[in-house]
Amino acid sequence: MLSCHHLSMNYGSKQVLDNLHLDISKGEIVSLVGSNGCGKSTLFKILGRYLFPTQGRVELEGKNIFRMKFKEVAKKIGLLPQVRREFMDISVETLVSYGRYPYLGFSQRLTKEDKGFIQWALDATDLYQKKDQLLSTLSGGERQRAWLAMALAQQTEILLLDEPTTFLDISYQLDFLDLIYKMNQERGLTVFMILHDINQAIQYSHRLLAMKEGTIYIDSDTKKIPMEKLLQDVFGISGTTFYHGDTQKPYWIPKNKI
Amino acid sequence: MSKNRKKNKKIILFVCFVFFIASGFLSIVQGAVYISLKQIFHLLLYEREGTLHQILWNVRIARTVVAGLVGMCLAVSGVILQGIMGNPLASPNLIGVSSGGGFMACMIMVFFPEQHYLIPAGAFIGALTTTLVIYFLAWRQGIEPTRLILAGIAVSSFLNAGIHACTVFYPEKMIGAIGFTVGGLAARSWPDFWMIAPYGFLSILITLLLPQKLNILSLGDEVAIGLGMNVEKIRFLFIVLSSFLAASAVSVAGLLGFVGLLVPHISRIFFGSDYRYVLPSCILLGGGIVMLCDTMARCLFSPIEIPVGIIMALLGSPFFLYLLRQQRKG
Amino acid sequence: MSLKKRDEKLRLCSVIIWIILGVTGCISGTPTIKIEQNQEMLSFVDAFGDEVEVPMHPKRVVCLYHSYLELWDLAGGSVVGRVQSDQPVPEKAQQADIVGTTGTPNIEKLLVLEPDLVILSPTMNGKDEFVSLLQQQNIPYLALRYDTFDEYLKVFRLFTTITGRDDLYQKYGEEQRKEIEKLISQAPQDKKPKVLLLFVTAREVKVRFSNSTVGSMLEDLGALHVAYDAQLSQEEMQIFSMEKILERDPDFIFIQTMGKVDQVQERMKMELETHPAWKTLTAVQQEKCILLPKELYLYKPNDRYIEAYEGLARILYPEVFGE
Repeated sequence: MLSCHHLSMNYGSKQVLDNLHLDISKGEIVSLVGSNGCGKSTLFKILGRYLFPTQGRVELEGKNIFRMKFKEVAKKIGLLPQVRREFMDISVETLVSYGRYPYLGFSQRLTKEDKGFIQWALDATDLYQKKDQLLSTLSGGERQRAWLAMALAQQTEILLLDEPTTFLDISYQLDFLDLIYKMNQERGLTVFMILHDINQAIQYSHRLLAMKEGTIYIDSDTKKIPMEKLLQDVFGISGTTFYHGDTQKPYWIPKNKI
Repeated sequence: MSKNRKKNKKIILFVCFVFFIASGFLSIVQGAVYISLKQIFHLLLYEREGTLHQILWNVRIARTVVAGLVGMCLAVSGVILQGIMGNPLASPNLIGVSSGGGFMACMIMVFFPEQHYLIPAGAFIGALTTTLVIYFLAWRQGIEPTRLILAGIAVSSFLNAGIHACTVFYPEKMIGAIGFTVGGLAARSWPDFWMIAPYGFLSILITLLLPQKLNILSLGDEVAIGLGMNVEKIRFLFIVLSSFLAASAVSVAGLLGFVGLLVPHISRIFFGSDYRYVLPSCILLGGGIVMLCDTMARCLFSPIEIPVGIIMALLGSPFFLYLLRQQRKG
Repeated sequence: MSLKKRDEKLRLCSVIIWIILGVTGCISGTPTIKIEQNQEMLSFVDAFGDEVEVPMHPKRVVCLYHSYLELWDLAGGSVVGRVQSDQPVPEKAQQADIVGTTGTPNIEKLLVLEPDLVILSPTMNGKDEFVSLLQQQNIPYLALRYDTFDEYLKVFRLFTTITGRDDLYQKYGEEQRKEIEKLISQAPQDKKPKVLLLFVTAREVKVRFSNSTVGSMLEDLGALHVAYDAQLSQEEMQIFSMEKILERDPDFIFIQTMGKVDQVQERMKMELETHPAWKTLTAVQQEKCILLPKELYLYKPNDRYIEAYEGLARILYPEVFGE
């Protein structure tokens, strides 16, 4: 559905992405992990059309996304970037309503249909009760959910998320990921997310990608990840791998120091 | 709760409107020559000739209207820039409008002193050209607000230095420059109004259709692109609009500071960040404040007039600080 | 001649001739002169209100204000240094070194010339530092300003006393005074035309008053300034209410501008006649708006004062003085 071919990006002499290939199929949850500086953010920005790659193509259902109309792409791909300006004095509902922007005509008026989607997004993120509250009154987790609601209101088939849980409390992190998972299961939402917690990434995705030095080093079904390779080569750490009884997916803990 | 907030905002907007009308009214009623209210009605409706009518219509009302328009243009220009730069310190000065207009005016004053009537048009063109130069200097695969601000500061400094150089090398020719640099509306009349009205009103109208775009642009480029906005195109459009507005004002009133920077802030103190309210209120507040200050400039030391820029700086800053303190409490 | 010997000289001096020139000497900048009998130093109260001493017959004069250069030249003085200017330069002064512009004189170039007298204006930039520098270096200086004819006479008197050229004072001072008095007496006493004197630059129109050169000339000739109540301070010009101008409807509007008259004439006429407010004025409709040539009216007329007065008189009272 969404794929990258021969993607390269350099800033001057610095090669950030190097001949990267990527393929995300419909209905999948794909997570990307990697250490700092491996190029994850750059990849995300290119997928989000914020940057132009030096070389290579990004294709959405076969079409080059840089040749498509902005709004056309926005109806298919939703984003939750890490960097954004937050205005605390808008209401949750207002923020979520911005998600309908690609569908609005010249008059910028919200139709009944638009309002319906906004309501649905608020329900799905459990924020309907708080829709009139200002963003400043929400907790960190709730705010993140509000942004997610905006992306959901966009009614896209794919959702791209850049480290959505990095600054949240653990309970909010899990709530958020559960929500993503639910969207995937119930509505077939395709998800591509950059996460920093390897275990979370494995538990909540179908497929895991690991980036190293500007290219995809590991691309594997989460049940079959080469854990040693992942921990050692990509992160330079050593750990002990266990397998989760229910899901059959690996999880790791750092090698015991004592 | 949101209904209350919306209602509050609508009430405050109405108050802004009342302020605007009241300022205009005061400006028409007050002047160096005393004209009573009754006389005003009489002169406007019946007696279309005579000195008093001339004074009222061609001097006072014309100047009021120009002041209002200049205020509106500058305030809207400032609020647009603050929105697209994401920087609350952005003002029309940043995109080189003031320095570009001022520099062009200087060039005319120094090299073509006989053609001083060219100054308004020259300032307008200078302002716009400078904005475009700054834009293209800052362009590298698109515009990043920070780069734009830096380019703006660099070019403005350069042009300002040029203006100062003129005062050093050609002091006799630059005698009149002070009024221009502080900003004033003396002897402005209908021709000045008609000169900027088309650009001013058109730009304001276009901007009024676009507050939502400003709202989304304010969320950051990545988010805006993600929502399907062609950020580069929209940002360019807004910069051009802002430049048109500020250039119009500069060509008529000189380098009137304060309005473009602080009126948007005042507006945001009342309305928050939603441009659907901030924009119209800037129009009303900007126009009202300039009209009010101009009235004071004309009347405080009548029959002498002070450049309106001085009044605005003296009154505006303390008032703004006061508002800032209020906001912190509430 | 240095100031070090000042005290000594004062003790030697026997008779002091006081020429007190005007009560307004200190404020308007025209000097109150005390001339010492021994003819070596001259002391007076300058435009800063300070009592200063300058040498008689100075040999190395630097003039930092171009408008005074002509007057100094007229008084028979010569200069070794002057400032850059667009205005015409007297022949003798053309050889002099240039030490900067009116606004910003170059201190080094000035000092290199080893002046024994510096002529300056009280309105120059950075005057405090500059003056204290001159005082440190013991360089005598003259700070003055003059606008009206009376003030001109006083300053000219000072200059000619310094140069010792009383004959020039008679020629360009006294003679002119007599001629001008004669002219003024011929002006009709009862007419009292209303005048507005404007200085137009760029987008600014400012009004000038009876304390300005042309303003005082007009007043001498019996005209009334429409902007009589507009003087806030010692400022030369102010922005004046357009409303008042319309209300008071002057008979004549005199316009001073930096540009060349013939080039500005057409345009100015057109502007006045199309401006909604200006065009309703009597003076505009009757074509009594006069652009004053800058050589005679913007710069100091000096030896051409009589010509300047005549020009104005002819405009104000064509029936008496001819066109």
